Amino acid sequence: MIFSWFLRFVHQNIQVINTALNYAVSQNQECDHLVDKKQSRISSKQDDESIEIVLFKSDSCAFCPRAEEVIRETIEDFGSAVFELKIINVTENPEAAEEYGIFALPTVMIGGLSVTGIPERDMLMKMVLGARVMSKKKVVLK
Amino acid sequence: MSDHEIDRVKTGIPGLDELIEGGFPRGDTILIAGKAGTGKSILATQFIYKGATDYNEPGVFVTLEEPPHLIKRNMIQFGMDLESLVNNKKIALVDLSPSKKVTPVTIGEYPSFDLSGLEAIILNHVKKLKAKRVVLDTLSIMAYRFKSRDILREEFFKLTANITRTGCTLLLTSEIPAHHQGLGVFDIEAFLASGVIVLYNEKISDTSRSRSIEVLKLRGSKHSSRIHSMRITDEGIRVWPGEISSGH
Repeated sequence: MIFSWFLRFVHQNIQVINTALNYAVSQNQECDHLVDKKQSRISSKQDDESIEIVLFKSDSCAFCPRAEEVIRETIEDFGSAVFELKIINVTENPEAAEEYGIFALPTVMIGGLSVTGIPERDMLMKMVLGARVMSKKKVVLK
Repeated sequence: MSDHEIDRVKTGIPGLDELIEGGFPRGDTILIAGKAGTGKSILATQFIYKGATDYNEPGVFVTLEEPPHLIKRNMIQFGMDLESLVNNKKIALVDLSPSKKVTPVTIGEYPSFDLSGLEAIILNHVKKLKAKRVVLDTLSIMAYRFKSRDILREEFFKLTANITRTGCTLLLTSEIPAHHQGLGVFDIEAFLASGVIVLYNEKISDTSRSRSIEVLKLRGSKHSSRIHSMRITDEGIRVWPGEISSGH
């Protein structure tokens, strides 16, 4: 049942997943140096299999709390062990926003792709699927 | 200076201060509008450069369009060495151009965002340099990066207010699209600013064009209502206050 849903989802979104793949290959980023130790992080998985989700937010951003909720709910549904959520508060760390050229908040970044505004779950799932396929590809390449 | 006199910021553009009672009112937002190739970016960069070199006013130049290495290369032609000012922490060149390598590719936008990221980036540099001048070049590029124009319009008001609240004088550049009657793609550019300066590069014959400058509005100032000749010389932009443009 779940498998057939997964196949249907991949089939319907193959173009987006392909785009995600291409960009993830060329722009896969690591943001460890940008994240404040105090800032939150789900999952302790530190290996190459974890998918990094970065949320840029600020103290004054009214939409950011809801964006964070949607991301956390999506992660829970997917299985949180696979993900690493990094939250960058640009009020405390404006250099990170500058480095990544992030003007608008909230912005969610997965691989080399981003979405601005409160994201819809479907969009997050498309991005995650792209990143997931990418991570499998990395293993094969090894 | 009397209580009624407005504190003025020297523009660093020879001839321009004479048209506007000595300079831009300090802490105001000024819009520099013009079609492509009229000299908006040169004028804005000269404002930052001269502020740092001649008036001891540090400045922050935020580029949303042209990468910094090209701005530096172009301005050195006018004898303006931006690199040394950056190294001496007199100015900051903030690269938010699309050419940045690490900028993620935006694949979706929902109409629930603000520009607090851009604000945090700019205010961080203002604070570090104790800047007195800020340039945002160019506002128009935002129309191509974001679809939600209504949100952008609202956010521009917040952004400009929060920058000028620090005491900085803010210059915004705006590109007027070809065959466009307004001052930019958002149609609210004039409302954002208390001063509007328009640059022209009009064709006056089959073989030549003429550059000119017009102070369209400047609140609190008795400014010239004429269109004056302007040239891009070896030392940057120069305005001839006594010369009325032949192109108009």
